Amino acid sequence: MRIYRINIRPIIVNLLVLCSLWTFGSCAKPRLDMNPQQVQSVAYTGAVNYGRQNYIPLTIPLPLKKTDDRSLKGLPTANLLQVNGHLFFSTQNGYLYLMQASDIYEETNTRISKGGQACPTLYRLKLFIPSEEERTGLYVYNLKEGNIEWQLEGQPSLASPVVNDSAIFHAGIHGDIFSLNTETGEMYWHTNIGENLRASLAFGKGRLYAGGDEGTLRCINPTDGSLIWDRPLNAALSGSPVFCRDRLLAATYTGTVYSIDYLNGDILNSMSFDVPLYTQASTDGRIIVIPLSDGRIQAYRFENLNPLWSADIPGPAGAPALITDNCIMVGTTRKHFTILDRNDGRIIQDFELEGRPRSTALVFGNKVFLSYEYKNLIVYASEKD
Amino acid sequence: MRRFSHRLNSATTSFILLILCFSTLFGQGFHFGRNKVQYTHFDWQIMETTHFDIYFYPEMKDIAEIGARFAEDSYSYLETKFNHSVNRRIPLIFYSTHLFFQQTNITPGFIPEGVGGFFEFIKGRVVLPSNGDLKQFKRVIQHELVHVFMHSKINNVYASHDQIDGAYPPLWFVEGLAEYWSGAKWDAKAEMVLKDAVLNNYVVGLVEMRRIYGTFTMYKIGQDIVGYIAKEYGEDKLLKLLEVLWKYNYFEQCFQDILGVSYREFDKHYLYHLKKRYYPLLAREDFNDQVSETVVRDGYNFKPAYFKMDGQEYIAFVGNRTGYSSIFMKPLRPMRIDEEEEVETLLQGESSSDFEAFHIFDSKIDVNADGQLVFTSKSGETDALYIYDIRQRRVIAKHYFDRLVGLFSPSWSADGKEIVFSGLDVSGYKDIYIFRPQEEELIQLTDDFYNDENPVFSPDGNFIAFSSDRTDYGPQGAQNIFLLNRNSGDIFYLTFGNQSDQSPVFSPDGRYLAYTSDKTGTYNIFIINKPLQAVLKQEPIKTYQMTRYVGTTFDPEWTETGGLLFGTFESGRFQIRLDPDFLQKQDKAQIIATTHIPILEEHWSFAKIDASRVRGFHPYQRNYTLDFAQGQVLQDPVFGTTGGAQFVFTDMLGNDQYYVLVYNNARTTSDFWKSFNLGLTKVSLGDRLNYSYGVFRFAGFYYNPQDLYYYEERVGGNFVFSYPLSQFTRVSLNQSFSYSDKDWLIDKSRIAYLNSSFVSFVHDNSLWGPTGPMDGGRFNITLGNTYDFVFSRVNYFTVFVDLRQYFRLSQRSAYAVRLFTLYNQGKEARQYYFGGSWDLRLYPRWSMHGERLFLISQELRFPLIDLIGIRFPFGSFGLQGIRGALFVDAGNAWNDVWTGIKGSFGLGIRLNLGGALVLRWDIGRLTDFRRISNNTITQFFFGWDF
Repeated sequence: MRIYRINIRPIIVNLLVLCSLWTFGSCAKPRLDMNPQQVQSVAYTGAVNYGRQNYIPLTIPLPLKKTDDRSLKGLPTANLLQVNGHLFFSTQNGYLYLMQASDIYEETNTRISKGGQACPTLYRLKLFIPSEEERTGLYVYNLKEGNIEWQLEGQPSLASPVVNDSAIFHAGIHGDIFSLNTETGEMYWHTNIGENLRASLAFGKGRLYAGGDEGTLRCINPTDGSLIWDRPLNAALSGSPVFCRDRLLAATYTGTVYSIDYLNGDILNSMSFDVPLYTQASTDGRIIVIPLSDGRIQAYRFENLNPLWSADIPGPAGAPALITDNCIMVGTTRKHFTILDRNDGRIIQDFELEGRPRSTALVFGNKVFLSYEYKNLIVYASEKD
Repeated sequence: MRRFSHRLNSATTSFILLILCFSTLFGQGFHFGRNKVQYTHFDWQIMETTHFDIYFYPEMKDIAEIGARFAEDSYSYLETKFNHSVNRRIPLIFYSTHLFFQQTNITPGFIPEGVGGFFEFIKGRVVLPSNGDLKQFKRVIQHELVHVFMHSKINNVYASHDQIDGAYPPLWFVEGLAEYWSGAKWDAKAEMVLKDAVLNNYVVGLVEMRRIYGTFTMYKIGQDIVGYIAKEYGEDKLLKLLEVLWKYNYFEQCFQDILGVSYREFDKHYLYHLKKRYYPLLAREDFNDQVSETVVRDGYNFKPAYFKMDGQEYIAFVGNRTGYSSIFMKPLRPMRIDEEEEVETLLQGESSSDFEAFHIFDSKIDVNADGQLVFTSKSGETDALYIYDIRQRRVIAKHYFDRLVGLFSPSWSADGKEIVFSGLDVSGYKDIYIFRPQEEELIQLTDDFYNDENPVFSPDGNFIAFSSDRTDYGPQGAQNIFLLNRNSGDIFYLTFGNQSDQSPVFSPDGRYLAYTSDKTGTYNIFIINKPLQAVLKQEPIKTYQMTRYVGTTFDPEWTETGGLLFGTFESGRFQIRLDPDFLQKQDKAQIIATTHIPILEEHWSFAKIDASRVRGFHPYQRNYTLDFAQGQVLQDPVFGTTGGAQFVFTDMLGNDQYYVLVYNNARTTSDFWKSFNLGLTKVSLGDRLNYSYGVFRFAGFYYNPQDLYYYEERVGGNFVFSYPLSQFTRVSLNQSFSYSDKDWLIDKSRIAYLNSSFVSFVHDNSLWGPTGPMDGGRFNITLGNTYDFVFSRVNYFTVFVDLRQYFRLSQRSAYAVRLFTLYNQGKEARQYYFGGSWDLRLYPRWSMHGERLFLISQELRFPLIDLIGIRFPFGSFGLQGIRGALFVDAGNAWNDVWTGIKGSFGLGIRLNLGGALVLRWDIGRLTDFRRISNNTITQFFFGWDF
């Protein structure tokens, strides 16, 4: 039984990933309007660039133990990627890493750019790597060939791009959104939303969603860049909008979380906190998990924002929490990695690290990967392994 | 030649100079400088809380536990503001009083009275006093912790992007954010500064911020700009400004990135916003100078005390009009706007051990009917209470009080037999005391942790009015006026509200009590009608707002005829003004309250830190960590390559310092040990007697004009003791023993065992301008002897006298004179080198030498250009404080035969570069005082004026 559990989970996950890749690779127009479970799986394993929910439909084999800790050349950006047994991530000082996920053997690393805070987006074995460089805002890296296919001049970005079919949607810091041909970089359309953009776009139900620095959430038609609706929220958005099912979640710096109808931008529900919010909410479509900046983490019912539980964790969250089917994982700025029970917020495990965790955890097989300051990647695995 | 001391090659010199720069004791032991006297022995303890190591001494344990609570609460608050955790333990060093705080060795510099605390970058220490006001203590803790978080956040941003530096926020942002996030409300003092700047047209925006760099005005404009950004652009932008620092070289680029506007564009909107905010005030408020009379105008003037002598009305006041804080007096007579002031200095402060500081911002003075002035001043370890006879112009009494460290705002009773004042004890609590000079009896009236200030007697002597935060609004920062019945000990409210009421003073007949209050947003003058009657009969208290001034008012003082003197800040000046018809305006004044004021019942208190957040207590133990490390490699065409390093280790309190110097100037591998240099020195500054000791080995090839090239090895040790008699004067003893082996490379060598003993007497009370001293004086008299105690090859004595005096001619000009002589006599006496910009100017540097030298320098120092702006297509910069000098020098160096006097004269220009360095350019001619050379000579050099 034990051996079975060890071996079967990675195989299943790998199969899921391969299926996802096959889907991406063989369909002329990937179906992004697939059911939420599929979107979440694909989004997390192959591309974090759609709903931004930070949910993975897996049960984590708890308790965990630390199995590895590697020193890197830079601090990884907030999301790690994995595909087909490989781990990808970029660092804030511009390195691109490719590792064997099973033993984090360092396969290659190369410096792509001067750096950036946003993580790359993976699509058809291409990595779309945003950069904060003034001269180049986007690098497109061919993972198969190991070279840069094309790059976008100017338009520095703090946002992970969205890739949809043959188009990539790139958000520049100063509010420019571009639709570009994924193969050539040719521009399909361009628009400016009139305020800075410091968070990733979200994509759902065939629409783009952008949260501006001055607090307006906008819904944009991805075919021509036209505005479908906008919703002023009166304070800068923290993190990117989160799309799940038929609504958007938006958190603001001043401590309010809104649940918004994706069709017309109507506010369905909201709730306010007395402290700033720095990270976006996470959701699996059933619960919403919100890390507060004072070291609390709270869960609410997705449908109506009714509170479920609140827990004190050792310090404020350093990146969005990850929801799994049995637990919540979150790294804190006080150098802790904490795992909570998703049903009641009880702390199941807490690890003290040597630096501040800076990424959302990545689950692959029975392993959990997490980056921490300044240049480290730590790996946890089930204690039963 | 058997000289213990000699010139070193350039590498050695630079190493030694660097070591000397970092040695406070050496800095004090040689030449000039004031002394940071360690009067008090502190038994340091450490309280470990969740995030802090809190250093305190047992006398202030209660306040330390309250401060610990403040610190942990601030940490939680700032963690949310910065979205960042400081994951190191933060050393927080508390003092109970500002006078103790001034003794800290954590910074080598002197701490002015206005400094409420500081954050030190090397060890990340925060150092601050409580000083009797817990609300201020809380605010300063949070202010300094903003610096801690900002520093940590910025380093984190750099490190995350693999950088060690990048753009850094300018001071207006650093301090503005610290104020904004310190919990400091936009108070009346902040309003005072900004409003005055706007309405008097000297406000600056970001483009011109350098013009007010480092001033209180800059702090407050910075705070307002930060608040404006938060309001207009979103508070999140403050954090984002820090998060993009890694991307840019200049903060303005970050500003443009995050806010989308340049400094110039921002100023356009911000300055217009200020006009909209303040210009409407002129419709209902008046400038002081339109409705009251000028009494004292120039400089910084505070705390007027009215008195009559021989039928003539006078005021005494404290202020800073020349650079020294002093006590002044002048006849009470209004001035015309263009009239010169006739002010007499009664007592000059900050230049003698009796009057080290008059606390001009915090402490009133008072004069009784006999013409006796009572005031307080720092004198030694603590404050002293002085009584000064104005007729005789002399101090007639000086009193210290056990356990009382700070003394503030003494005030006479009407009969002149008692003095009431606010005393700050060693625990950090400020209470009200009465002192009877005749009996030398001290009576404590209040005994709690409230901040009791500015007490005054009622005319009958039975009551004392004072301001205090013991009001229900105290936790919110309010001060109200209270009345203490000295017979029963009962305390009553006289004012009540969430405002700052200050400086109560009874009219001579006791019918009115005047005070200042920021109830209307800025400090205006209010009076209470029949205050004693209202309290005793529990009648409603009638309060009138008597003034509606644009400028802030302080320190009201009644005249005999119902007029009112007061201090004010207007047009950037702290003036003293008079409203001679003050009481007559009562009819038109607005009654702002006629209500019963509540009975003072429940006291509030600040909570101490929870036991659950305290990990433990333990005595302080000295652990030494590296403060400074520097490597250096020099390439010299003659001496080859020289390399080395130096390290400085200190303890957390900075009392003990270790200096390690290692370098080597070998030219071949075989020379490595022969040219190996090592110096180890320990400096101890923890007690009043400072000392250092060390060992050294200096070896290598050297050159000087007399000996030419030679090799010398010196091995030995030395001791230095320095005992400060006061802040201004010290005695130093320097003793060294060394073995010296010297080889001139021309078949000449010698070995000597040298003993050198020097004793110095040093005094320095000079006052500095931007390029050098402007007032006061300083001298260094050193006597010494050097001899070879084995072979008797060396035996000479040394006399060193350096006298410098500065005569202030006007506010910014001075005549400086220096008399300097060095005299060596004996066997193998030392040669001194002479000439150049630091002594006999316009002569080539070190072009003369001899066993004796003599110099007289005279210089007229004056302002030349205050500010010059230079604009280029790619930017602009400004130079401030360019000074001029006219000089005449005379002197020479000689051995046995006097070779005649040499001299020079000319004109100089001095430019202060960033406060750390002065660029000097001299132009003139040489003379032997019989004829003048035909050549005009110029010299550039860096260094302060003598």
